[in-house]
Amino acid sequence: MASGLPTILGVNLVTPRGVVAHTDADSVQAPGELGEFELLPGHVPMLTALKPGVLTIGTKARARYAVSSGYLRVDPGGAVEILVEQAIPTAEIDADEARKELAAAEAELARWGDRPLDGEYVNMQQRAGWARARLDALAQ
Amino acid sequence: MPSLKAIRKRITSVKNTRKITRAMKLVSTAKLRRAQEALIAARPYSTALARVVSELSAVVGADAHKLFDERPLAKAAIVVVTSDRGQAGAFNANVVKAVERFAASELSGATEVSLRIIGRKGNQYFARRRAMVTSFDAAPTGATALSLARETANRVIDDFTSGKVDRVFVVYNEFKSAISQVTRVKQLLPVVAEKVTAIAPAGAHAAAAADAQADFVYEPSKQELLDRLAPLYVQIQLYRASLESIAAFFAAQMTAMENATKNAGEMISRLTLSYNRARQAAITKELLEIIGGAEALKG
Repeated sequence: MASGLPTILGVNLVTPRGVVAHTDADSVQAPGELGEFELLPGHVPMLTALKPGVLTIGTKARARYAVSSGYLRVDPGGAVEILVEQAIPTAEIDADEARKELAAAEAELARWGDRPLDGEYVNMQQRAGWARARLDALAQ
Repeated sequence: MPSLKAIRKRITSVKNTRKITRAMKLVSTAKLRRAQEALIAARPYSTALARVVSELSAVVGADAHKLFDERPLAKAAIVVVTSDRGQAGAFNANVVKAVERFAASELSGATEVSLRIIGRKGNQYFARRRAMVTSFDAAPTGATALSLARETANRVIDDFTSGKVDRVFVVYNEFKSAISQVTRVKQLLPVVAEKVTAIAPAGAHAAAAADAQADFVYEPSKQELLDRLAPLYVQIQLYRASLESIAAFFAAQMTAMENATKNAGEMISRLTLSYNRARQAAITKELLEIIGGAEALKG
């Protein structure tokens, strides 16, 4: 590129409840389906699935979120679109509530036994995953 | 003619009713505004998701994913979105009627139609008619709509992929404006690829084709990405249906309560009229008695 590599990422974090963050950042750390990864300016266009975990936007001025599943897309123009089903800033996480939800979901999963692994099972797994993501975000 | 006291009591009671309906109208107006805001807030997410799912299905091929899989219709499921409370005109009646009409016409070839009901009103109706109800949840609120949509989506996706049903529809009231709501029947599963494309912004398909040729990185594979994202698409469809239903409910309630307030006002003026008439009759009667008495004394 003639103008050199871009140094800034335009990040857009979107959930069904609305746009959570629309900001410029120098990096993004995201919980990829294949493992945690860091995204820097000038990344090649990409589409990747995210699993519930911790999302960090920026290195100097950090904003940390617990996110559930969704995707991260770097478009050819370099803009980053992060679309997740739920996202909550660390400051707003209720640890007790998350712990309670995790315990309830894990107890339910432990009791599952021979019942078919149907939609309800997926629901319990997702509840546990979202609770774990919130606790992880607080722990970091 | 009822006594003066009885009429006075009626007037007071109708006035109290009018106070309640007027307050309910104000409350629904405020809640309607919030529901509309939630609908608008959901738009960026649903258009972006539709775009990506459309791009992916274009590069993978729509028939390559199990949620796009068109099978002959034998068993169908309908997600019925109603409300927990009434006092909203024909809001719930419209939905249950649409469900029955749809089951009798489009789904007449199906061997079995099961219902997943959201909202107490729908449940009451179909429980009385011994319909096949697979699940029941309370009506969504702004706070619960998202998790309800997620968990209902996972259930119907499992029903569909495990072969328990071949088609899944959702029936709900759509918010058109404060004075009009339309009952909608939409197919949730199998996902109709053209519909996804229609929601996605224009040019998404061409862009997808261009991306596929460019060195676009997909992680994990395109197929696996579609596995992850197609369920989110079903979920957002249900979430939007719930939000539409919430907004339509408050709009319907607003209209119903406005009419009730107007009717109460008319009733009050009618009752006041007959109250005055009765009072006048009593006075006239008394006067006549006095005059009659005086005449008799003169005798």
